[in-house]
Formats: sequence, structure tokens, C-alpha cells
Amino acid sequence: MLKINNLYAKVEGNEILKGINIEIKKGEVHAIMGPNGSGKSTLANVLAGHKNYEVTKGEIIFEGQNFLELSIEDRAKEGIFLAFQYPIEIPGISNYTFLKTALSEIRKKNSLEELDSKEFMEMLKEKMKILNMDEAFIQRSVNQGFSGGEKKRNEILQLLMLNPKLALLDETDSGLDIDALKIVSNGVNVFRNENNAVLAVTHYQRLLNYIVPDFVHVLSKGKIIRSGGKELALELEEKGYDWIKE
Amino acid sequence: MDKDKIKDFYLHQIEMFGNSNVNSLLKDIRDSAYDDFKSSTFPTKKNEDWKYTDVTPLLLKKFSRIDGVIDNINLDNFYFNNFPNNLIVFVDGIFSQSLSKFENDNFIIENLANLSFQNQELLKKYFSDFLSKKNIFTLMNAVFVNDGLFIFIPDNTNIDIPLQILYLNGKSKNALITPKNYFYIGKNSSLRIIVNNKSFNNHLYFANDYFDVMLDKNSKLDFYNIQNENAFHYSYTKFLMNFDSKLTHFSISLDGKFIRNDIVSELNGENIECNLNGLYLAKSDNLVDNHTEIIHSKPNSMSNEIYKGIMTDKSHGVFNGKIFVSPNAQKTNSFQSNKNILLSKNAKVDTKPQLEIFADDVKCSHGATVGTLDEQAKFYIKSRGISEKVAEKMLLKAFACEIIEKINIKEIQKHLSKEISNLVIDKNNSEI
Repeated sequence: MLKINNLYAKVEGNEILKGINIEIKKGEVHAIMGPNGSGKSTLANVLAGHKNYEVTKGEIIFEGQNFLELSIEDRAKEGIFLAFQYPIEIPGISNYTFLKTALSEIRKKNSLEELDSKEFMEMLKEKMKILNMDEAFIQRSVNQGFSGGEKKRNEILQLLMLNPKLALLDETDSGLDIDALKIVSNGVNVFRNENNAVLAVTHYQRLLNYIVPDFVHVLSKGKIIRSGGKELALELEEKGYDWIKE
Repeated sequence: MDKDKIKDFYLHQIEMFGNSNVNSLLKDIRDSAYDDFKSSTFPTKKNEDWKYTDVTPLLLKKFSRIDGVIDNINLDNFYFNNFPNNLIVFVDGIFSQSLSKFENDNFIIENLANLSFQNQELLKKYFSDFLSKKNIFTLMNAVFVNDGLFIFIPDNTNIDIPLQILYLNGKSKNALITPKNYFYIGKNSSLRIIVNNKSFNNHLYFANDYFDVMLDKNSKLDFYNIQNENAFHYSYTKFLMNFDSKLTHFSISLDGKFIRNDIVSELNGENIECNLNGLYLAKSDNLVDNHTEIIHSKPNSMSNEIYKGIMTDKSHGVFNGKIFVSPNAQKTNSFQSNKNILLSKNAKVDTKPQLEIFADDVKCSHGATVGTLDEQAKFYIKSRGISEKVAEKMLLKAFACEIIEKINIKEIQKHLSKEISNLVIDKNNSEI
């Protein structure tokens, strides 16, 4: 599904990614772990197409297509979804309008008809139930005044509604208490199936207790310095990142 | 045209047309302003009230007063048509009986040129000084006045359907349009007014209008002033508010070559609520200048002012918000905010809050911002598959919604949303 080959990227002139190689096949869950400043969030933003991140070398191939040539919105339409570490508050745009607009764009791309209001609301309510979200959120402005946990649940709600091929989770566990973490993780597990994939970027192992990875990659100073199975995450949790840097 | 000679041009016009065929009210108004007009000069940028706005383009053109009613016009596209039977029409500032549709016996509504003697007396009783603010433009409006509207709502009268006053301007070439309006809202009464200024065609004109509005005790007024023109426009509005009254004003400028609005609200009682809202969309090389002044002269009242502007192309926005709290206006609550978005690097805005507070037990706050569309928000929206263009329109609507949501007339809300959707963002200049 996704192939990242020898990827180098800069932010404000500083080289953050220095030759990343990852391959993700459908049905797989990959975790990228690493200390602060290792380049985890940069990788997530580069994949989504943020213009402040400049790719200087390498390639990203998604479903056989050169992703670097695509705009942010076209990448989303191709089936990539970034759950933000810090979801943006947008006063004045309701969750309803936001999700309905996004869903119709994505359905249009997939030659599907736009859902009418009733179908859309049914789908939305069903997904909100999974995330234990109050229906009052539908009319509220996107993320405005939401608590940290509510924002993360709102990200996963969007994930479930837009149903992409690849979900990028950027520190989705940060700022969540254990109950919220369970709800959010459950949302991601509901999303998962044999035809899609998850790339979770996380500092801590605890998210991976709930979203169990098939592969764990350790990122340090812009390079993947070790890859392994889920047991690698446990080992990291026990011994810390210093252990692996040596 | 030499701009220093322009006043002679206008004075000459006054001499030529004289006062012979107007009623005594119009004659009195003209006479009350003539001497002051003669001795005034047009402002320059050295004048504090005009430091951001250059009136030279206005002074380089010659505008002339026009006579006679024009009423062979198809109005279809010009007014908000949800209330077709509550429509007062002026063409180039002159009342048109045949285009207006209005049935009423609850209150007085008459144009100044045809005002009955009895109603002239009534007007003079409530608006004894015809001109509460004297600057060269309000004086010019007075010396040239040839029509306008008098509305008198008696006590205890609630008018449900909004009253639309359509000022359809520019039917004649180079018209000088000088209506003067006096509105009185009686005790415990309420009214909604839409003043809808529209250009008839591409003829350049100078509209110089004046609204003198009194809100008596416990009255309520919603006032929408919508400017959608391609011309010069100076507008002066004065509110005098009595105890327990509530004003909600909207100053909406959608298009206009040169717009200057002066709005003064005098809170002359306790428990008054004064809401001034503004939304201005400036395009091409438009200038939109909003000057407001809120005067708290008694305790326990509240004012709430929010002005928002979106500037594109080479346009220029100006906001100057004065709030004056007199020494005995304790427990005043006053809030002011002016926010601007620039959509082009050639657009600019000058914003100046001006608070003069002479009481010590008050709550006053103000803030002004100038920015561009939030790039992170745009990234977030686009990352959900929404195109750049749609993302930008969503963000502009979101910016304006604080004002639009307060509007309680659906047709106006829709109209504004559409205007915002039609704004063109200058792609080459979006990086500021």
C-alpha cells in the first residue's frame, strides 16, 4: 500500500528526516516510536503533504502512485488520513458542515453519490456511539472549546466517517486518560480491516497495548535504527530509548 | 477640476437652485446649515478624523443635485423581496410613491418633501436641532437636502415585519444624493429597519445621507444599513438612546468605491443596550472607512461593538472606534473588537481603538487584529480531502459568522453568505 524509499525532508532549513525506508501492506499496523525530536511528527506531516515540510530526496509511493506530486487534498482523496496530534479549532464551522463537505469530496472521488442528510446523520450517529460522543457535538464548531480527549475522539470520528485506506495516528494517545485511551483505541480497532492499514506514531508504548502493531520501528535523529515485532515496543518501554541508541 | 475650487462649485449650485419650491421644513434645514457650510473646508489627512482617508478622489469629481422623480424602473433585483409590501423606495434620493408599496395605519411614515404641516411640527418637536453633528459632509447634506424619510412610531407599538428602505442610486449621471432621515421610536415600541443602498447602474454618484434616530424609553430597534454600490458614499447616523432602550445596528458594506460611515450613539439613560456590528468586504481599489463613537453619559449601560473586515485586491479598510465614558457613567460595561483579514498583500487596513474613560468603576475592553487566513486551519481542512478553494471559503464564512449569526432576517443572512462565497482570493498574493 505505502512505500517510503530513502526519504529526506527539511523543516525551515533543518534536515529532520535522513533516509527513511518503510513498507506497509494492507491489513498491517505499524508503529513508529522514538524520543522527542526524532522526526516522528515530521514524517506524519510529510505524508499528509504539509507545505512547511520540504522533501529533498527519496519517494513516497501510495497504491502505486507518486505521492509527492499530489496536493494535500488529493492525498486525502486517495485514501490517507492524518489524525492530528493537536487538532485545530475552527470557530464558525460546525462539525456537521465540516464532515459532510469532506465526506462528499471523498465520495465524489470514489464515484459514490453524496449521502443525503438523513443517511449522513444515521452514519454519523452510529460512529459517534462507538466513540461515546454526545450528539451535541454535531452542531458545535470543529474542536472549539473541546477538551484534549474530546479533540482526539473527534479525530477518530473523522477517521471512521471518511474511512481511508491508511490511517496515520500522530501521538493520538497524548493527553488521554486511560478511559479515553480505551475509547479512542477501540475506535481505531473498529476502523481496522484486512484492506486498510494503520501507521501509529507514538512516544510511549501504552497505546500499543490497545492498538497492537505488527511492526515496530524505532526512529532516532531522522533514521530508523531498528525494526521488529510488537515485543520491541515492550523492550523499549522497559529499557528506554538510550538502550537502543548505543 | 481643481479640488480647492470644488466648494465654490457646490456653493454656486446652491445659489442657482434657491429655496423657492420646497416646503418650509426643507428650507429651514437648508438655512440652518448654509453659513457653516460656507465657512467649512473639506478635510485633509492632517485632520485627525480623516488621517487614514484621503478625500481627494471625491473632490476631483463634480456632482450635481437632480430634480424630479424617476419611477419607470423594474425593481426586481434590487431589494430583499420577502417583505414586498413593506417597501419604501427612493431613486437618487427622491421618494418614489409609485415604486413604494406600503400599507400602514399604526404609525407615521412620510417623505420630507411631502411632509404635512402637522408632521413637520412633530418632527421639529423631537428633532429641534436639525443637525446634531456639524462637519462639512453633514452640512453639505443639509444645504442640499431635497427629500428623505420621517418615521414616527407612537408609544406601545410593535411593528413585526421589517421595513425596507431602498435607496436606489445612480439613475442619473453624477448625481449628488442627499436624503435626510428622521426616525423616532416611541416608548415601549419596536421596529426593524433595513436600509438597502444599491447602485442602479454604473453611473458614478455621491450619496451623502444622514440618519437621526431617537429611541425613547424601553424601545427596541434593529437597524440594518447595507451598502452595495459602486460609488462614493458618506453616511452619518446618530442614535440618541433613552432609558432601557436597546439598539442592534448592522453596518454592512459589500461594495463601494469610497465609503465613509460615521456612527454616533449617545447612551443618555440607564440600562441601555447598544450593539454596533459591522461587516465590510472591500474589493479592487475600494476604500471602506468606519468611524464609530459610543458615548456613555449615564450609569449602568452596556455597549457591545464588533466590526469585522475582509480586504482583497488593493482595497483599504479603516476602523476607528471611539468609546467615551463620562465621569458619572459608573458600572458601564463596554466591549469593542475589530478583526480584519487581508487576502492580498496589496490590501491594507488601519485600525484604531480610542477609549476615553473618566469613570473608575467600569468594565471596558477592546481589541484589534489584522491577519490572513490561518494556514494551520487550512491544512487541517484540506487534509480531509477538501479543496483549497472550498477550505478558504469555509474559513471566510467562519470569520464572518460571528456577525452573520446575529442577523435575525434569514434573507440577509443568505445574501451575505453568498457575497462571501463570491470573494476572490488573490492566489499570487496569498503569501504575505
